[in-house]
Amino acid sequence: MLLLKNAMIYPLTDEASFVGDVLCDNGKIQEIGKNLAADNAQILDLTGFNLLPGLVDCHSHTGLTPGGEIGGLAYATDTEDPVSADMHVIYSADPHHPCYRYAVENGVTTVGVIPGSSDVIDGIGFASRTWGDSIFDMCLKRNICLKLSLGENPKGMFQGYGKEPDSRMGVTFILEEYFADAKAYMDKKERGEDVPYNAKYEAAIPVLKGEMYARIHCTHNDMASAIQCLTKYGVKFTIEHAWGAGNYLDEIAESGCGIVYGPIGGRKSFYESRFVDVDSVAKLDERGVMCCLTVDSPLEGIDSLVSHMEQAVREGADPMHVLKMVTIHPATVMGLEDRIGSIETGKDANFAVFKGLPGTDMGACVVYTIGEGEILYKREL
Amino acid sequence: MILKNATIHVGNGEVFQGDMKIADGKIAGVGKELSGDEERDMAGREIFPGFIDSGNFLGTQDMAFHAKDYNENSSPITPHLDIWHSIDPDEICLQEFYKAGITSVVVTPGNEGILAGTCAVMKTKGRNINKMTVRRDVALKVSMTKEVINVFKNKGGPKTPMSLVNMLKDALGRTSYGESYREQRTKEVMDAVKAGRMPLLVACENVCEIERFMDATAAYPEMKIIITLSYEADRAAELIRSRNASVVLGDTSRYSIQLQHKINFAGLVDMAEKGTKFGLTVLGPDMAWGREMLLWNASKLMQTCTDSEMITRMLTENPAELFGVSDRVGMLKAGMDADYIIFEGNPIEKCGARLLETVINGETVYRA
Repeated sequence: MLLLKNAMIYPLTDEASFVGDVLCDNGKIQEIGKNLAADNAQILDLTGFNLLPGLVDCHSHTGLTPGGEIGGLAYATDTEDPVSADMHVIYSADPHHPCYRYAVENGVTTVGVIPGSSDVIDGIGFASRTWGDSIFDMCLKRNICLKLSLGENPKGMFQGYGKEPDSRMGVTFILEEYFADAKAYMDKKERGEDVPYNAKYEAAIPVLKGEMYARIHCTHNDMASAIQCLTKYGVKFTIEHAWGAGNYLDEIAESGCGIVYGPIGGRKSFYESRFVDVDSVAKLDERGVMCCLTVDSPLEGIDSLVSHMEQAVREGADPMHVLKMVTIHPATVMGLEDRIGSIETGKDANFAVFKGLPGTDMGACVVYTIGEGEILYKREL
Repeated sequence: MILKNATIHVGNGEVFQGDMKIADGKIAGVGKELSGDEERDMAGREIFPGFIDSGNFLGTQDMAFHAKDYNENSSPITPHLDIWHSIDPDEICLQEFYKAGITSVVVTPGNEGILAGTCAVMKTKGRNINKMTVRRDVALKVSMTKEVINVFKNKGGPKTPMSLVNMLKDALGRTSYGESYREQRTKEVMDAVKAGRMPLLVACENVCEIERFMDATAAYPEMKIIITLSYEADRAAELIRSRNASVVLGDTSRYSIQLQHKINFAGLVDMAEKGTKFGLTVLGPDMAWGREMLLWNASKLMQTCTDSEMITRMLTENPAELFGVSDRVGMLKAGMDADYIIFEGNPIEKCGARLLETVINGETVYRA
């Protein structure tokens, strides 16, 4: 048992912050209140610190490299076929990769590990704890999403090989074709027709039934293509990266999709990274669109999740809403909103304890990370 | 014009409530109870000198990465070159540094040459390069990083840090120069460097590179050294102090560079508190990044720093002084260029501090 005392608690539910205690037992939050006591509990005095749910980045490529290489993405997409819907990225993941421990040191207790963006239909992601020895034990939930990509990345991967896609329109056609064919496959199966098993189309069925998110890498005008294609099938989806979303505020809000914005901080360059419009996060949030922030680890270090929060606030977002963009919102995108992402009785006892409040105070930093009731990290102050 | 009743951060650590007078693109006066024709009430506003990035290659590459004019990859030793000729004002403007309150940038050659060329201090908004220039030949860019070896290993070397150091030593040790324009320009730059009239801006990703550079240049005590990137500078803190060198901290986010170098922000703050001058930049090992990242580093340093004005100085007075332009920019004082930024709140202390206006040479270039 672990008893957290006298913290400024940010539940990130409808409830405002308050000073109080949290009792953790068997990896779960057992009780939240004031003046809690428990025999045999380890007590952690958090007077003066802010207690947040463990941070969540639902768009991560942590550990998808050979040999623990820090900056790389070599195992993130298969790239043999632009339609790689049957690839499960959990089989590429290295739990001993240093980015996992690094996530713990930065208050992140859950990551959505998803395929990269070099195929059009990239594969299936999973939600992982950031600590542990076996990726299969660390896994909180498999099949969190079917990852899709439009634009420069899949185009660049396949261009020049004499087969589709060789252009942007070729990329988008493959997406449309995949969903049309997968839908026809599913319909035939449901009508009881005899159709040969197709693993790639099988991957789309939970998406088409609204049981799993499609998460599509796209930016500015690619968003229009993505929204057009995915709304046709009524699927739940998020727009990943979402640079240039400020030009498509109406379409995004009307489609009901979520936004996973980031990474921020690159230089403005050709095509899709011309319009890194962080202020659109504030505008979408005001319209009730569910927004998350991502650093796209390891493209940017997970340490910069706090920098991303700061930047969103700097460009107009509400600091309390920004806290949700790295906790309960990404938890919801992964279908884990009943288990992680807020401080509520019965949820996993995952916490990030901060000196200062991230997104409000410059210099805010993690002093403890707690995962399922265990202190995983302590900063020497 | 008079800006009345503002909180004025001079840029050198001083902060006071007062007024600032602007005339003809210059600061005409800073003090209490100034008066004039046009008065603007600035109560509740905080005014800082425009921030300065301490050295990246803004403006020398195009958006599509086709023009990479920051590296002259024909030879690793090109101290005769001047980055100013590679700068495209439109490319500077496109990166919109002024929207983050950055009004000047030390524009430098990249990290691919050992002695890559001289640097220039430029304003971040304009169309005419002459009007945007604060000063040229403000430093000679040096690189000790693996980027040099990556580029030149199959082009005559260096293939290893050993040959890189030899090439550096040879260039510094040269005493006879020919009469040609090229030779005389090289001599002018190298003499200025060795005599300490022109600082060296030395890219070092790790502590070995810092130690190598210090060893290779030990015979030149007059040299003015500014280490940049500097991710492991705290591990050479004594050595850096012993040469009276300064430190510019590069981008720490991209490619998980903080993890790669186990960057010790507390150690860097400790160096600054003990007197080593610091600047900040968005430069990374192989690329210069976006305007946002300057304040990200400020925040990381604020984790252990208790004096926000010390961090402010890293963006104002320090770079101006290090690069010899403190007569023009970096402080709010009479006679300086009217480069200032108006905030609601203090951006070094609060993330939600809002940039309301950026002014360069007395002209508003950005308004929220």
